[in-house]
Amino acid sequence: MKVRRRDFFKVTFAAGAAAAINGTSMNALAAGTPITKKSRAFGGEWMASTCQGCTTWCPVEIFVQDGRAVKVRGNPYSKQNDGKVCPRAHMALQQVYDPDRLKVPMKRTNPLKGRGVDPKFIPISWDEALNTIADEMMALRDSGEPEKLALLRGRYSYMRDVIYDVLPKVFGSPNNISHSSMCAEAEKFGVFYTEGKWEYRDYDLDNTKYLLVWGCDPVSSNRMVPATIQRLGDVLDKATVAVVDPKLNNTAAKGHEWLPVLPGTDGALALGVAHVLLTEGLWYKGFVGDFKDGKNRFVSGVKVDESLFDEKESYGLVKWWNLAVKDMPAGKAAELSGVPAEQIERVARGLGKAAPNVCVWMGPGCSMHPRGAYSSMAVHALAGLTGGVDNVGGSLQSSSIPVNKLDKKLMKTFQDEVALKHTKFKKIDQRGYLNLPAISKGKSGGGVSTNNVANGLLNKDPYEIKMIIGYMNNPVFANNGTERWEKALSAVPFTVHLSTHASEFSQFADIVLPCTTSMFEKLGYTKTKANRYATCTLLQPVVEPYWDVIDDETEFPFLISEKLKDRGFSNLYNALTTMYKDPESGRKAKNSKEFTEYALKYYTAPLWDGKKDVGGDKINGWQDMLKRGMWNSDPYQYKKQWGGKFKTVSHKFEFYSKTLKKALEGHAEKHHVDVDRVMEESNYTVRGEMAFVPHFEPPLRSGDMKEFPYMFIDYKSRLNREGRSQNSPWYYEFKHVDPGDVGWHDALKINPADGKTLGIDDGDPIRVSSIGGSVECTARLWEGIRPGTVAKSFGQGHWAYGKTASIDYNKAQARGGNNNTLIPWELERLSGSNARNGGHALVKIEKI
Amino acid sequence: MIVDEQKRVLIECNRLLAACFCEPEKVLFIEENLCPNLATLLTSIDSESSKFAEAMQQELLETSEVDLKVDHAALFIGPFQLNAPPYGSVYLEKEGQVMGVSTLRVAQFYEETGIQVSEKEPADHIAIELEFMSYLFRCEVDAIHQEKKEDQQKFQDLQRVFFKDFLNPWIPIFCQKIEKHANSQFYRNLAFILNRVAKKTEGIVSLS
Amino acid sequence: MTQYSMIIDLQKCVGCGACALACKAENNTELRNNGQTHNWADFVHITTGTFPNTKYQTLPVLCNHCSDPACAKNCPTEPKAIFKTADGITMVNNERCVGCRSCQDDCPYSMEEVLKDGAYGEYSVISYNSDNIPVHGFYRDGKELIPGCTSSGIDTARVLRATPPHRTKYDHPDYEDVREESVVEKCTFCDHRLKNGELPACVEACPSGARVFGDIDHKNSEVSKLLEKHKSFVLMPEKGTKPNVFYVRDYSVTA
Repeated sequence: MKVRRRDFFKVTFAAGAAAAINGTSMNALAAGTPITKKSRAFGGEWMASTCQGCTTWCPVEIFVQDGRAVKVRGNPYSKQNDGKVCPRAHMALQQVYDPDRLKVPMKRTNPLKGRGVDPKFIPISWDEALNTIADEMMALRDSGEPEKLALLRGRYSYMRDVIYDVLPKVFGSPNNISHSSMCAEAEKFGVFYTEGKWEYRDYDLDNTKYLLVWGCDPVSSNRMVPATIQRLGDVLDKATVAVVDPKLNNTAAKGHEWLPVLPGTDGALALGVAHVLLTEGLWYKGFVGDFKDGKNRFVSGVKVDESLFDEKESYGLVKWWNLAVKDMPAGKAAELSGVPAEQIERVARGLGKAAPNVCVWMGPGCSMHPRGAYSSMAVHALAGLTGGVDNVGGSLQSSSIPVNKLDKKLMKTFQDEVALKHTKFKKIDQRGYLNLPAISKGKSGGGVSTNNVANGLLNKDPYEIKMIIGYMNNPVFANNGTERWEKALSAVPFTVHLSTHASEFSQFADIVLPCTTSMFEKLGYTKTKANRYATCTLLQPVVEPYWDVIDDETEFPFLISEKLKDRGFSNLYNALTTMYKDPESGRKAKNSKEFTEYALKYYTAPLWDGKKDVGGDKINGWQDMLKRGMWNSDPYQYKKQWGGKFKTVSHKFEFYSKTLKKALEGHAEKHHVDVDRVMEESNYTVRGEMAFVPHFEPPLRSGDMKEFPYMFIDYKSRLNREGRSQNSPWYYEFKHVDPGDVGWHDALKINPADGKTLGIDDGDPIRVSSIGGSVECTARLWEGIRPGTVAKSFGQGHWAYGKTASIDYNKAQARGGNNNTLIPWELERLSGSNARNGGHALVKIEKI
Repeated sequence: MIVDEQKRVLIECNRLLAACFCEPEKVLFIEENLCPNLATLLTSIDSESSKFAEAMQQELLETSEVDLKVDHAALFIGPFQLNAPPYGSVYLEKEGQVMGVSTLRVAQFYEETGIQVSEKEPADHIAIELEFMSYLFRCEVDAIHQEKKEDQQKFQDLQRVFFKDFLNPWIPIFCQKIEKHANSQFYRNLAFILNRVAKKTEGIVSLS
Repeated sequence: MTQYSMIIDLQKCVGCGACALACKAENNTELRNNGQTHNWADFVHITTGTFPNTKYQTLPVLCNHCSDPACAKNCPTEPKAIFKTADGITMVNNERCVGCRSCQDDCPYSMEEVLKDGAYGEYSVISYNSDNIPVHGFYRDGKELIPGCTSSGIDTARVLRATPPHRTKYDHPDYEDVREESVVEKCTFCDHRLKNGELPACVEACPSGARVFGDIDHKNSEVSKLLEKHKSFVLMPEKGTKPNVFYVRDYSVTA
């Protein structure tokens, strides 16, 4: 507390002088109307921001009383959530007011790094922290090796351009590594190589007649949670709801059909459904096309002459049939996938009947495993067969959000020779190596492979990384194969972590910088879509940060640019202040707060400056934008891609992927090998033409089934604010809202029959082990899980983070077990994705 | 009339003591004659304290601002263990809670008197409570001048209740803690003065 | 007469938990401790059948605001601390409550000690703020995870000047926004909000629209219409307490 007014000191000694003359000054107090208990009014204000608890990125409002955030709702302007949010947004109150938040910068004083090694952190000033970081960065510039700085991005807002693009690129490093491939790049793979869009889909639930959910629980997680929660009850009246998941999830529990697939065999199941649709003539002809004479020639096991088929919006159906579908009748699919043939037929017929208003909702469950790329294609091919692609009641692409882009041309003018040269070096994740095609959007090495950074670091290949700056991330907890990350990070000489909490990653950091929480304290924006609307929504500091924290994506780069400038490297400072001028006044930012505001204004200006009609909501200037906090697009128009406008090589929906063929051949050519060799190096079994069509790959299982007899399934809790809610007591209190789960436990769901075999009772403490590692948790015997398969939600098992998240921070003792320790390190190599699903982790279970 | 004069002094005294518990800003404190003024005021109620206030000025001139700030932080702010938590509830409640029931009672007391706290600190921070006492004394003196007998009585009652229930009970132990842990003479003297002024105040508010 | 009541449409409910969390935020209820859940809104989960014919359902639970409340029967104070308001709410008056907990014992939907949770069918409508445990101890704890670097519960409450720091402040003649030690507490249908023309927090927050609130004595109210349209049930009708929380339709369409 400070003395804020000089007249607070003023004293008059004259006896008898009226006290009021000198006595009116107040410091901490202010006079007002007396408030009695009866008349006390508890006002407050709803202020707009964005929840980043999952990737729905809901526009929200926060009720602020006396400068404190006290409750949350959806932003009433939102055409996606209509003012309602899922449990995550409410839970965030315990995140912003978490007792274990970092309040000052800290540095490690113990040079030894490793799990369970006390870093001996001590508090330091912002100045010391930034000076140290700037010195380390300058050392890399001075020795001509700026590429040895790696910027690891975690959860982001679209202000990411500043820290993720401008900072490393102007500095001279190619190593800006995102975390995208941890999430669902293999899922996007299937969509891109059929439909030509490297994106998540939107879903038209209001008009669907058949909702086929595959490998996720859309009322719990995925990308339009509140919109789906709001609609599912009505969808159940109007449509059939079928869910493919080895575990009975919420949507499955409520729906008409539960298809408890054997983990990793989704490709077989999808092909089985396709087989029924084709042999019974149930595909949607208005999209796919038909035999020229209208006579169905798809007979199980029999090849078909391609010339007899007249394609419409699709390409290569007959090729696909001949290569893969003809040999996967329902019976065989049933055998491989464990889903009964009658159910496969029933679902396929239901889909055929509902076509084209079929919504195939694909989640990461079927795709994010070592051989998941083709499962993903196979599942999405069903959207093509039923004509639900970009159609009424189906899966949709989305409207664009007309914000400004990073001015790359202008940025280039601030890159010196060193920067221009070194940013072209290979990246530390080894993307584009022969065994890691990561062919995002058709380009070899076009996508990130986050989990492979651990290998790059460990093997110093392509070179050593000497310095890491990471923000809003926790790679050593969030990537499968945590042990590999622990080793890799222990060996990095200098690491900076920007975070709200001292997480596991912080334990390997040399300096940890305290940051704002995105929903309550940060300024920025995100883009999101759901329910046919694309949305731009602002993150706003609805409450003043109560500790000495900064915005990671904008303030950090600005502050560090000032320090670099002091040390003779002013390119970054010049780039930032020039690229992000206030679009209204043209002024350059003088401090980090101003800079953040100008940068946000720069990006969002087209939505509110009134210069051009961009469609959607009409927003009247910057202040109006801040107040509303968001912009809705016009609704997405159906069939925008139909009529030869798909961004595939054939411009059609590809059942035989010319697009994938081109990409794989491109990658093979780069390495002077053939596509078969690429398949081999990438863990896939097929050779020849099969590589270009959706097909079934026998799942890769890590471990010997004799020693590790159970398949382990990871899923996302509906209370997970990604990995960040595990220090909130409410998370544990209501953990039982995840089907089969128990509050205050990390429960492994085991079928009671398996429990009997193992001699394990409900509630027993158990140890679960794989070839990757071992964790301790609680047994929960539950009929909602497939025998032979066990499941546990991701999230618990923090050995750092906070007093609630871990049992004992000082002893690195975790509460529950981290699924990523159990799931051995592995990738889906064609997309570069983390391989965490599909039951590739085999485990054994022992009673403790 | 003597009482009136003492109350005038208490208006100023409590305010300046409140200032002393705020973050030390050497230049500001010196420029505004904080310690000399306090010393002058104290002569009329406790000459011993007055000498201590004079010594505080000497200490202020000789100690660096950083040292003062470090001492102030260690005693009252953190981030490490507070050596002398400046919050009433720590002393008034079982288990030494910050933001306890008594803090809310204090906040309510302010509200019902028509006063709001504009600082980001609990209502029972020593500086805020002293400033509040200053305010109550001022209101009484104003009432005397405006010859509003009823108000005069009201504010006397408020002074007595607030001081006895919320402030006086914890001042001695708080001052002991400061005297024990302070590195600088500045804060040790401040503790001495606060304790003496509280004793005086006790007599004055019971009398009226 | 007015009898406020709630209808929960189980087909719409997805069991997400938003209602219960919104309730905790609105009513500043304590964290579970000492066998007391302090969850005025909670859930029970029921799994039946064997794989693959497994059925699972979630049942949201809260105070039934019974027309003939068992909890009020043996309340020893005069006038009673638990009583029916003119609007049919079963209300606890904080000042009159002496913390004897006879209500907890008498209410068929309450337990004196909840050792498990909804996963095993356990919950309690009424919770007791123990006389020897300070309320919101989570924010009274002074321990710092990393001394000098991270905050503590007390520090957070101090800087925010509220316990809990996200405390929603409101006023009501019968109850405080944070209940103190030695009183029982339970759902009030958010009477402080009703008096302000707002719906209960759980109803407002429910993203599926499963919770409908209104006056059941009023023929044209939405609740009355829904009860006419659908078959409904209440919990433990055999206890004869005449609950005013009704459930319609099934959680699962295949039930």
